[in-house]
Amino acid sequence: MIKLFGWALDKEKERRVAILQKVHLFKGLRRNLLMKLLVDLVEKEYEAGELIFSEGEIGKALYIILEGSVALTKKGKEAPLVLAELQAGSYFGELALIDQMPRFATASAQEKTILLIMYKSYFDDLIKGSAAISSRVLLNLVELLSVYVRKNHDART
Amino acid sequence: MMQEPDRELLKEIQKAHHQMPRWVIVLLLSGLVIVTAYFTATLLILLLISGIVAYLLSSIIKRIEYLGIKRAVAVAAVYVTAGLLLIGVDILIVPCLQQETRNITEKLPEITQQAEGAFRDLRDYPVAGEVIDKIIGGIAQPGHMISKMLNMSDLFSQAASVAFAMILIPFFVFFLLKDWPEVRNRIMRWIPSPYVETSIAAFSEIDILAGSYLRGLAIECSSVGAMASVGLALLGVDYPVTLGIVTAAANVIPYIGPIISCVIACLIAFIQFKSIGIVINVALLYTGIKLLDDFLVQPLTIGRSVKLHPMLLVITIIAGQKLFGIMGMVLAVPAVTIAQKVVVIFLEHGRNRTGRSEALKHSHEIIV
Repeated sequence: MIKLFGWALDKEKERRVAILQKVHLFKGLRRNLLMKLLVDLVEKEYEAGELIFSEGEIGKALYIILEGSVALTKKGKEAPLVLAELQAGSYFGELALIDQMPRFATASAQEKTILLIMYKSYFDDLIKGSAAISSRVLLNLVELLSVYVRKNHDART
Repeated sequence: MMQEPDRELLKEIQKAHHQMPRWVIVLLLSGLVIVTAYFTATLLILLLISGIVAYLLSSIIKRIEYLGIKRAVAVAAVYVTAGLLLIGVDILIVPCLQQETRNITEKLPEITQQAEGAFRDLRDYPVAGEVIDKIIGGIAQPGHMISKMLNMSDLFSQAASVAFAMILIPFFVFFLLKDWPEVRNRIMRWIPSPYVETSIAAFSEIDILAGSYLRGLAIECSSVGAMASVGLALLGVDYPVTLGIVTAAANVIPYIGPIISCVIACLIAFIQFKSIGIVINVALLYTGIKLLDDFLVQPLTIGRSVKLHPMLLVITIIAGQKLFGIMGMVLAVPAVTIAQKVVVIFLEHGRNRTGRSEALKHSHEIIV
């Protein structure tokens, strides 16, 4: 059946769904739901060096890297500090989905980068849509938060 | 290990951050397009209808896309299905409509006489004579209306416009549906980074508002039209299907639409039965439909998507009519509701940006 209708399938979407499958936040979600996410999310292309968001701005969206890489930097006493360099399949800004607090770091594209952007209301719709989905995604988010808390605790002690 | 980033790169980033926003240029160009479109109102109306149809169909296209199917294939599949459905409608409803319109055309002279007779009878009621004189003397004079309707050159030009629209609308809709993701991505590419999240918020709110309004309106009008058709058929009023369609179409215009359709149905019923009793029955039927619509259908369909003050709502409808005619009346309410929401989002964006230093005080308390 798939062979018969293979011509109608979107290969690029399949490739992108494979990237979404690697995003921890969506771990355990079925393929059709990941496809829904992919269709509904906003895509934006950034040039090398382009600013994605600045430290201190109110965050309202999660970013998933489809292609390229992103640097997360934080203002230092003398020069900005590079906190992380994220590659395709990584994501950042996930806390904006829970609260709308200021961004902790500045994000900028290191090369030509394509990002998928999940605005908070899409996330709210997603978790309102089904109990199974919301419990899965929220559990993944709690796992992430626990990692952050432990890291923060380790750094302080 | 922490790395120190390129200072030149950071300067470039900061420069890009403080550049004059390109969205101002986009806004000016959009304004120019709207002004040009205003002077070519027919094209604007065709584009608006195409946009609405495309919007209504886009949710079906998305559902097909969720299966991993190419967008172009999904659009083609919807077109084939819509074609088959239209053939079904053509077989089931069109013969009934044709019969009714043929009856109306054949009986026009008789209806005119009946109307004049009915109006004469109505003169016996208090105050009615004066009102009827005004109606007959004005736009509703039956003879004038009929001669205008039967003006062959007008009929041909209207038929040509309808045929033109029937070709252009599916053409526009096809490309709007097929190319929308690409257009959206290009728009996103033009938006400067500091405005990306606010623009997505605006897109998202417009999507939610317009989606719930248009889909709700389509269901609401169909329900009201069906109720009117069944009710009028039960009352024995002629042309129930045509009147049902007129009621459904008029219902698109808030407040004024239901009154117009009720008056038309009452007039047809009065001409047919020459009795005030049937007019009261039809008026009661339309009141019942309006109550059902307000308290049952609307909350389930449109919901609370339109949050305009009733006075502002009426002013909006009148302004829409003055600017763009009937289409203006129909589209004014969702357009103003959306504009209101977008303004709120951008004002909030401005507040967030100016309040950044205050918010920064708390940023050290958060984890990431």
